[in-house]
Order: sequence, then structure tokens, then C-alpha cells
Amino acid sequence: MIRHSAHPQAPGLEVLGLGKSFLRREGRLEVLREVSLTVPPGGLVSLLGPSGCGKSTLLEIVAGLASADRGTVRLDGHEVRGAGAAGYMPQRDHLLPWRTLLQNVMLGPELRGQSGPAAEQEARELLTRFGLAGFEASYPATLSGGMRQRAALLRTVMYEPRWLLLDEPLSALDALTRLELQDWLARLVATLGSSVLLVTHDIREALLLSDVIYLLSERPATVRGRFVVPGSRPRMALELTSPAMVQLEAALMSALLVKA
Amino acid sequence: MMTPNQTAKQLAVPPKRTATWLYQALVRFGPAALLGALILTAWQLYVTTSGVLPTVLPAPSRVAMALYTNAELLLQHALVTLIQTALGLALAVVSALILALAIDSFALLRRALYPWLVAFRTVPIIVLAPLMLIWFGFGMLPKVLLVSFFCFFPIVVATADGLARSDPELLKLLRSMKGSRWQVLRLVRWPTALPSFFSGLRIAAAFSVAASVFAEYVGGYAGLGVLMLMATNARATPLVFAAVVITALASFTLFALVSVIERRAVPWQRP
Repeated sequence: MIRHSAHPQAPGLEVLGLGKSFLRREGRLEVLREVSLTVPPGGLVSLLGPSGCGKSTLLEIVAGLASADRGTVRLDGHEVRGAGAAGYMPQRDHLLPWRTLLQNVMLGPELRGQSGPAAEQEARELLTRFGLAGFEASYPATLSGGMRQRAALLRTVMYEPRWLLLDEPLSALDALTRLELQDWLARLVATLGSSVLLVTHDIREALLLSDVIYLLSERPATVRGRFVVPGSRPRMALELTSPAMVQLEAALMSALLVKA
Repeated sequence: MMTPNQTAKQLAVPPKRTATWLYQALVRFGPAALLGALILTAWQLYVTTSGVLPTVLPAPSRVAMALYTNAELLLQHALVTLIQTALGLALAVVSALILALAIDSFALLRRALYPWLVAFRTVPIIVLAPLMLIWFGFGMLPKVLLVSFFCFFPIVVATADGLARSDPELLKLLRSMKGSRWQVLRLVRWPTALPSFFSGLRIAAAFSVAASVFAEYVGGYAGLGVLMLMATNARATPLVFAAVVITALASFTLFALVSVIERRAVPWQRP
């Protein structure tokens, strides 16, 4: 567990030359090939790519849930070995149905053995910032999709606020709720100061939320391009209509549609 | 945005609360109650008009009378049966939980034991009652053992199934947070298994009284089974029926009790 950065010039999250294959009955299935990327401290980097290209596998390797065949992952210069170093949010919310909202949010501190009054106080404060105050005692089944997703993000933040690995956190939501939460997430992440690696297949979401977008190819995933998003975060949805943004969106879209 | 105590379901209830409550109860339970009353009436009419002997088929009114006049005797024997059922059930729950957790923890144990447990679940364990008599005599011990043996298999199989059925994504989530084996069991696997455990327990509880009574048939000093046997031999058929009614009531009560405990233990499944 890394609590303090090794150098004052912390390198952030580094993925270096990652390669991964699965063995299937049909033969070897190559998922990732020579993927390298960097998330600077406090930065938000998106991985944009077609469905099934291996984005989730990449995130699981960074989270320590799967091992790579080649390459390394470093957090502030320390190589990631095993799970637990970063906060990982899976695609669906995966709240524990038998725990109340507050108990779900407190899962991380509890697993660390730090579920004291201080952690609970922090959780209650964050619940308000996440728009979940008043629902502490509710079970997940009684909450709306948007609330569940916010609760899942809060659980991740409570576990490890410095490194967030978000696997399509908003893809399970309806279009309107997604727009709302994109806006909310943009402002929230700016205040949390986390370093975030976000997987998405939504171009606008990537443009709205990120500093840098890595475009991945179809399987096996390779980095096809690195795009710096103009302007500074948090952005408002209206900024996506600026000429520079529209141009970038068009570039990303055509790159996604043209097979590599 | 909704507030917690203003769910859509509650909003749908019309304002006239008490009237609708009574109406809903009537709609829900009325037909079953009516059918029961009809059958009892037909039974009563058949017995009075056909002149069938009360030692063969007593009318419901006679059974009710037998219940009333023998209340103390029935209670005495029912208490014996209930205590040995409760002891047997408790013993079964404790040993089944221990074995289910052991099976879940050691893959080899699962492969060795699980097929046997599933097979034994289909064996009517109560046929072992005479053996229990030979080994443990006529007292309460053989009955308690038979009941617990009988209840053990459905509980252990259901619980072991439930423990194995955890959502792999939830397990992955706990792994991403470095949850220990014990934490994963306590936070994910056990809550996942709880509804299965209770469905096993409900079945076991419902039939545990019957197992107890059967064990008493085979040989014993007291209990509803012994009372039924004595009443049958004395051709006191209304008393036999009365004992049957008490047995049925006890089974139903035990089943309902488990359901109530389940609702409290699994609160997240309530809408």
C-alpha cells in the first residue's frame, strides 16, 4: 500500500508495454499488445475504444485483479503487485444488496480495519457531496440507477481516493441521467484531486471529463493515438460545441469508425 | 426525486386506508377460508346424515369436543413432542451449518461429501426410527437424534449450494479491495447463502414435527405419537383426530416461526 509518493516529482500512474493473451480452446487470444500510457498526478485520462477491445482487461491489470504477460504498472514509481493499491469501480455498481447505503460506502474502511467514527464521519460528509444524504439506511434495491452509481463511486473513493480506476461508470444509466452525472462527475473529480483512469466508449463523455484521451484499436488493443483535450477541467457541456472540440470529436469519431 | 418513505407503492394506495385493508384481506384470504368452511360443513353433514360410526369417522364437532375435554392431556404430550422437535432441529441447524462451511472451505471435502449428502437427502430418514430404538432406547434421545438426522440433509445441502452461488463480480470487487478470506465469507458468501439456508430450514422445520411423531409411534413413553397410538388402540377416534389437529398446528406454527425469523434476518429482500 502506497501512502506517500516517493519523489516530489511524482510520476503518477504509468503503464509500460503491457501485453496480455488468454488461452482459449480455439487457441491463443491476444487482448493487449504493447500498451503504454501515463496518468499524471491529479489528471484524468480516458481510454476510448470499441466494445470488447480489451479496455476492461487493461483496467483489471492496473487494479491488480489480473496479471499481465508482459510490461509493468507503476503507481508513483512503485510497481503494482496484487490488488488493493488503487480504487477500482466495476462496470455495474455491484453494491452489496444486504448492506445499507452507508454500510456499502463504508466497505473499504471496514476491509482495511479502519471503520472507526472518523471514517464514518468522512463517509457522511461525502454522502452529502454525492447527493445521497438522507438515504444512509436505504438498501440498494430501493435506490435509482443514478444514485446506485454515485454510491458505487463513493465506495471507491472511500477505499482509495488517490487512484481511481473507473470502468464505464455511467454506461448502465439512461441517457438523461448519464448527462446529469457526467456534468456532476466533471465537477466532483476536479475537487477530489484524484488521479483517474476512465474507460469509456462514449466520445463526448471522454471529451467532457478528460485531460488526455488514449484511443485504442480493436482487439488486440494497441494505442492508436493520444489526444490532448483543449481547455481545463471541469468543463461544461456547452464547451463541447467550441470549434476545437467539434474538430477533435470528429477526428475521434472517424478514427473509431475506420478500422485500423 | 423520491424520499425514502414515499415509494411508488405507497403512493398508489388510495386514501381510504382501513376499508381497503379489510377489502384486501378479504380478497386475499376469503376464498381459502370459505373453501375450508365448506369442507368442514360437508364433512359434518355427511357424518350426521350417513350415520357412520364416530369410531370410524367422527364429525368435526366431535373432534372439537375431544380437543376441549382432553386439552390438558393433549398439551402434556404436545409439549414432549415440541421439546424434542426443537432440540432435534437446533442440533441439525448447528451441525449442518458447520458442515456446510467446512465443505465450502475445502474443495476436496466438497467432492467427497456433497454427492453423498444430496443422495441422503432423498432417503426417507424416518425409516431409521426402529434402529434408533435399538441403539438408544425408548427415551427422548433417539427421537431428538432422528429429528436432527432428518432435518440435517435439506439444511446442509441448501446452505452449501447457497455458499457456492456467490456473484463472481462481487467476489472480484472484494478482491480489488484486498478482502481476506474471512471477510469475503462474512460480507458476501454468507449473506448470499442466507436465503438458501432459510429455504432448507423451512422445509426441515415443516416436516420435523412429523418425524418426531413418527419416532414416537415406533416406541416411546410420551408425545403426540404415543397418544395417537394409545387412542387408536382404545378406539377413541375423536382423540386421534384431535392429536392430528395439534400436530398440524405445531407444524404450521414452526413453519411460520421460521418465516418470521427469515424476514428479520433477510431484511434486504423485502420491497
